[in-house]
Amino acid sequence: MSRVVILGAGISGHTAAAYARKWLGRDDTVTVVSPNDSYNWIPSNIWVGVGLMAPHQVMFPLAPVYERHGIEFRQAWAREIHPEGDPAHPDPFVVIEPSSGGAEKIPYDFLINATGPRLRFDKTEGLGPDGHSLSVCTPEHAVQASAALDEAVQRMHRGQRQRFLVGVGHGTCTCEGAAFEYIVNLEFELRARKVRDKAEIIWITNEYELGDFGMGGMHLRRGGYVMPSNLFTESLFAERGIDWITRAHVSKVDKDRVCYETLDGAQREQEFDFAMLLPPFSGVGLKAYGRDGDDITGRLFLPNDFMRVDADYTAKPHEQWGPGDWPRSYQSPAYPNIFAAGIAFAPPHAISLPHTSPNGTLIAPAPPRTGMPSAEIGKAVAASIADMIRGAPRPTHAASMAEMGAACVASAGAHLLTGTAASMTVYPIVPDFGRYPLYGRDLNRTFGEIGLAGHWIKILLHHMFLYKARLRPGWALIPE
Amino acid sequence: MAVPDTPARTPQPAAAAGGSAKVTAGTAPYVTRPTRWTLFTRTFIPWQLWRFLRINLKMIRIIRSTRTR
Repeated sequence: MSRVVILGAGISGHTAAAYARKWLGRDDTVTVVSPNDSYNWIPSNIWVGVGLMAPHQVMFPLAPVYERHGIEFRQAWAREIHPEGDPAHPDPFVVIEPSSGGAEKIPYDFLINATGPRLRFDKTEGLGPDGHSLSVCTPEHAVQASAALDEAVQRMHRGQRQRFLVGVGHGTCTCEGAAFEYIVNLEFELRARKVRDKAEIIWITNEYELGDFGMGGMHLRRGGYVMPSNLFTESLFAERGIDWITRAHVSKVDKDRVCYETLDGAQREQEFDFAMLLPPFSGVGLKAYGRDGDDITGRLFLPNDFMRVDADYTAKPHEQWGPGDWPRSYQSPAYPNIFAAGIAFAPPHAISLPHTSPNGTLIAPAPPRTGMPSAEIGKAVAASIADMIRGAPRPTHAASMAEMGAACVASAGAHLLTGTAASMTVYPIVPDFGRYPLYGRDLNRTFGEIGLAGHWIKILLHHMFLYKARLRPGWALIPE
Repeated sequence: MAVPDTPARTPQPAAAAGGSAKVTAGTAPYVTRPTRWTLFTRTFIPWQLWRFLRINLKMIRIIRSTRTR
């Protein structure tokens, strides 16, 4: 009998739990530890944030689903990993803190850290719902954003002009794609509510060019040319009358303005009436202890609290970055029975080229690892663990982001007949200039297109992935 | 494996320090804009039904080539 413990029930952790349960024997146990009692299909939070969906449409309770499938569920915070046990308990265990209080030890044979990100609003003064800006990172944040949007629309109906600022709230943020979806949906919604003429909409980003999305942008075949994704994105913004600020590090959010630094080192300001700015991420801050209680957190985690896995973390100039730097099995080099999946693993470096201002401020998007890659990683880790429980000496499955494609549909307006979405695929996510010398990617498998069909696909994916996450009959037939 | 430098692309407008570095969409002359025909096809149902099929097939191809090994 083996015990598999999964920390986190987001896209990656939930996927890993579902497949581990499917592939392991009934004698083996699968335990999920999550502070949240519900699953949240995060990609649809942007629709909650513009008032088109209610939170219950993007969430469902986890306990009944796990009970039906024989997965043990503990609603608790994961605090500590003890990979060598302690003098009283020779087996490895994690210390969890249930919402009811106290602390509890959960033993494991295999551990998957899928704790996702800690939202670091604290990295920028005044950033976040406790400060002066909004977010759509959680359903609660999205509900607040929707309410603030309603108030702004009321003011516009009374004749006031409103300035909307949307983007990222720090120079090292990731998830530009989510903020991008929010701004184009916001613009569509303001048109639908017949107040667009009273709105100024501004995008603020740490990207060097629009359309970078933390992946260094991409190239697409279009109209007989191969064109960079910044043309695609600029066109989309210009068509909708959205202004933009690129290469920006937001350093402070006040009640009615942001202070930011641009790559040329200049300190600037931008006023707003409504600001939705995503925070930077770090790991959740798990601690690790050896058998004698010595702090070994540094052996398992990088200083940013993301978990070390089988990546090449050697510091090197970007000219020497390569696809081989990226992890394949997501196994901890320190403890072979510990894995990280989804956002919790530490990427070896950025994908976009790093830029630093003359003041030494790093203004560069962190690599995205949400959605499809997170689910694929969770599935690969679960498969490796199932094989290792059956006797395999090492991980048997790989899910390198340098060998993996991603499909993404970014909603640009939700209406069954007049809505649109940008449908994109990219292969591989991490450019491989050895295999694809000119652009780093396979142009036959990298494309982008805007249209109503994309919106239909987005709706289809929303229902399909929630069906799959509920582990309804045939869930495993639906791809990640 | 060398990663090429970022190619010189659209220039950032010179903005005075202290002011906003905002690019105003309506006055950015270098931006590619869709034609009326392109805008029409984006919501023209018969064409979009075809694109729905094509895009799904492309995505299935990506998913199949991405399967964990």
